[in-house]
Amino acid sequence: MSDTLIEVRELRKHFPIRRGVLQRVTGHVRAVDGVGFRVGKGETLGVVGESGCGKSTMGRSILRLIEPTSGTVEFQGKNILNLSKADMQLMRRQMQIVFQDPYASLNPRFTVAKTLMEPMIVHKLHDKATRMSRVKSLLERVGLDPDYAERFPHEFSGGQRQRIGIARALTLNPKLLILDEPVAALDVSVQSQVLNLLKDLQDEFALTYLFIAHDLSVVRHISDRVLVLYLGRMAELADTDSIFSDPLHPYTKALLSAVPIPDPDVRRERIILKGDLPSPANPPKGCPFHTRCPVAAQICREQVPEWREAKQGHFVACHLA
Amino acid sequence: MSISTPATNQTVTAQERSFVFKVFKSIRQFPMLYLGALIVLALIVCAVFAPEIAHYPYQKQFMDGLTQDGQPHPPNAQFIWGADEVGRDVYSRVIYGSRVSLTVGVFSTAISLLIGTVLGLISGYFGGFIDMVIMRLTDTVLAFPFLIFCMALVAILSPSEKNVLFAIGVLGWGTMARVVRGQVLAVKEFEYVQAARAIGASSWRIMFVALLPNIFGPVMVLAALNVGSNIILESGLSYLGIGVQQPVPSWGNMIAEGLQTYQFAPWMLWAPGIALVIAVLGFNLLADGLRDILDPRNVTR
Repeated sequence: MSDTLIEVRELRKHFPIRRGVLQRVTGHVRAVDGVGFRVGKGETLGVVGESGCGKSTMGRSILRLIEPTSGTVEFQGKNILNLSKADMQLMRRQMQIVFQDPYASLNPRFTVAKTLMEPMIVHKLHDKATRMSRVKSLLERVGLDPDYAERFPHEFSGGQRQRIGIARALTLNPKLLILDEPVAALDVSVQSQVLNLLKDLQDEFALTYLFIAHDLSVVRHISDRVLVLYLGRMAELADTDSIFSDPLHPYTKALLSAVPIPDPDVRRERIILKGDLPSPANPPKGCPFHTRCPVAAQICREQVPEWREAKQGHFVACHLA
Repeated sequence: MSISTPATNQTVTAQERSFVFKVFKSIRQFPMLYLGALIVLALIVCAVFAPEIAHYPYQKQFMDGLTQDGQPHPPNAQFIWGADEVGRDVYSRVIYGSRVSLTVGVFSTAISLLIGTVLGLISGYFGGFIDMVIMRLTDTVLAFPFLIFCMALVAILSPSEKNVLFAIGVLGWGTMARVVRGQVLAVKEFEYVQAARAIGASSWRIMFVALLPNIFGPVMVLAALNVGSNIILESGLSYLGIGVQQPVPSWGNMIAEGLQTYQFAPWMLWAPGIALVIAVLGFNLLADGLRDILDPRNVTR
């Protein structure tokens, strides 16, 4: 693997549950529970899992948009979780985020130019003319007409808005982009355009991506490695090829069996998971997946499976794999 | 044929974009807004040019303002809206009265707007303990009967136009703070607020640059409504005798006088009363129209 850009260790985010008149803490929602991985420079790590598994919370914790409960996030060897306010401000230039909903992620009162200039104003970069020319070149780079700079977000389509969101994230020349389901809200035809744009930008600016998604075919298209989360914990982490050709965790197998195959003649055994995602406020004992696992054994109900390297570069948390 | 048609279309679009056409279209789209704005504008003109519009100085007493048996003179050519019980011209006094109403209405609202917006923004954005403290303070302020609260404060400060204005403004921010807080709570969940944090914008910058313009619509509507109700409140205080003092006219103290002479000189009550109704209606229409127009999604290009 190439040089590590970001390394996450034992990241946890527990939201307190408060009850009663005195607002006493009666429990915790373990949204992210001990996640750790490293992403190399220029690499794309896909993060998948079903709704409520902590993907977005994890992404936002890394940026400290949500303060994590514990753990470390090292960016180029520096733990950003205990940086001072001023140092964190500088660090924000290195890492940016693209949001899922292109309708909610742009300020409706700001023109495109204002939205894109805001990062430069906050960081006191460039003078007015340089900012404007940067806005125009960014718009051009993400495939929009630079003349659109004075328009408002409501005049654009979802795909165009997402391009503006990407341009905003690029304004400060970051090294890491956290893409929080950037194409989930778009039409399929627009999805592929935006994905290809992201790939081009990655090559051009040597970006590192943390690509959060629930659509496996999208993840397969863009990722070098894939991390599967279940109930805030890591289930499996491996190269994209190994995940798709040789999944080890029963949860990953179930997810993959749900991906439609664009060929009506192919019949496949679908693994249907029973029941709902257990509450992260009260996760099951032992393996968090045992309540829905088709192959669960006695040991799964008693012991938490350890995170181990089952094959070269292929990590899994399962007793049976 | 196919060549001439686009040419005609072009002239039509050119006409459509002319300024006059736009104004007419806008008036047809928001008639109430323009009516309200017209009334408010008329009120401002009255207040600013009162010496030119009024026929006489407001405190001037006329011998012929009273009838032979000492009653207020009914409307005639000299006193178009009649005279009051000391022989002053009611029309002139109503015109001058607009100064008090407008000043108190606008400036007391400005004070409430400032206090309410800042407290509401802080309360909604930071939440938690700060939110609780500010909201309990708001509850406390709102719990008092407003008119009596103002009366008490004005009584302490001594009755004058400035003190009435100050009292209404300083005590009237409760609703404003609540509305602002509610709007902030709704708006701050949008991802563009997260995006602003991700680029490193400070809390103050997020509150005043990112959030404030997005909650401005409802706040301006409330402010315009507030001007109307503050005008009524000022009249109420002046009616009770703790607002603007004679001989300076305010619609409130004119109504108070008019009530005493209503049996034989009803014009003394009607003139300031109708003026008050029209002024408040104007601000309410303006508020209603603003709500429609302040949403950028409603603006047609």
